[in-house]
Amino acid sequence: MTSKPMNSESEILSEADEIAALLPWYVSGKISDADRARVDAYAKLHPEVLDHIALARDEADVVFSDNSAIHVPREALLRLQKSVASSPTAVLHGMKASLIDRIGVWLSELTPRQLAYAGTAAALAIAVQAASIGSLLSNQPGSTGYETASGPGSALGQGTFALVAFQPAAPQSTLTAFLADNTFVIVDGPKTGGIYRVRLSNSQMNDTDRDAAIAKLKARSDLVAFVSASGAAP
Amino acid sequence: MDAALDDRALIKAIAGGDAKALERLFTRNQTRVFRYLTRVVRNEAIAEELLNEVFLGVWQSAGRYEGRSEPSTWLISIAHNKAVSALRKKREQSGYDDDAAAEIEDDADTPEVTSQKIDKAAQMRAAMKGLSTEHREILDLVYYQEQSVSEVAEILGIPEATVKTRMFYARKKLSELLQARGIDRGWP
Repeated sequence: MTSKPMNSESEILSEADEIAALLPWYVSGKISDADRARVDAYAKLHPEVLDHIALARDEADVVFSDNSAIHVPREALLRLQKSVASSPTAVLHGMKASLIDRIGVWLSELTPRQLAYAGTAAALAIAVQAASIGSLLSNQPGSTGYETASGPGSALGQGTFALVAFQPAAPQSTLTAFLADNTFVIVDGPKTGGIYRVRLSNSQMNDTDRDAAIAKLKARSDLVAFVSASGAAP
Repeated sequence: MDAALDDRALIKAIAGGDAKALERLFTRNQTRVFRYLTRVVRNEAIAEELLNEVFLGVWQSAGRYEGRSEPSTWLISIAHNKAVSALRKKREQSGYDDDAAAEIEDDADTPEVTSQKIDKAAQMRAAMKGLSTEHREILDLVYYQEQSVSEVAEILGIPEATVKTRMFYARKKLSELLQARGIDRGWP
């Protein structure tokens, strides 16, 4: 807090000095039983300590008096209410936040330097994963491969979709097999945050079937970090 | 339910998004936190800004409160960190050293003049203004905020032995400043 060196703090105090150091806590009452007994025992042998306790009481009186003269501005609570209302956390608390919301709030509350580090790390993870999934999809058996939004057969406007973030460490072979077994196809991504758009079915599923498909994705937490139902093409 | 238990319940409610609980925690603790901040940064406008930041921080991080320390200690810890950052920023921007200024201010009057002008408590008050920020802070933490040795150590992020040593030198410096004003405390 100050630029001044305080090397004296590393010194070992004599017993008398240590007793003097304990007196403020002795006066405030926030002293351990052992330290209180130590002060009492020392005071019996060195009566001048009683005068030193009186000095500490004088210090306490002045500190208390000075503090008592400070008053909180009346509009402080109103100011806090305004700050809270406009904080990202309030938005998050106000709705049942999805993972993406939480990530957004987390990002918004980082300092610029933290954000830079987090952004770099996330970008690297997404880039590595995108390369892995891209190669995976081009060889995915039984699928049409990696379908971009503009690619043939992507049929972004048709079918039932989900937004999915895969686990960074998901084994490529396991992920391939899982997608193939369920006829899920990645049709777009990665978007911000490493999110992919996955087609669950070529047709419009009813709610029960869609929920069942999403449940299959959620059940594979070793492969899937996040999944959310998505409407048709954005 | 004692105050600490009640504050713990409020912090738990805040972690769940209860804005009213935050307002209640603020109302219960605003005075002690604001006074701490004002005494450390020596500027009420900055202290008010920091007070807002402290409780906004509580709103955003209440879920991380593990309940191992007293709520009052946790709040003052947050306030301490905010104050340290504010003072550092102020020093970097202006090059102004409050501690050095305090010592200059302390020498404004000769001992004879000041002893005639003000009484013993006022002399003590004036001498305390000549203490460094660390020394004033530790006196406040113990005498007004009523924090134990271990709690002060937690707030300041230093070992308990260092807390005691800092307190010793704060009181010793106070005696020296009073001596310079013509008052012999008889200690050390």
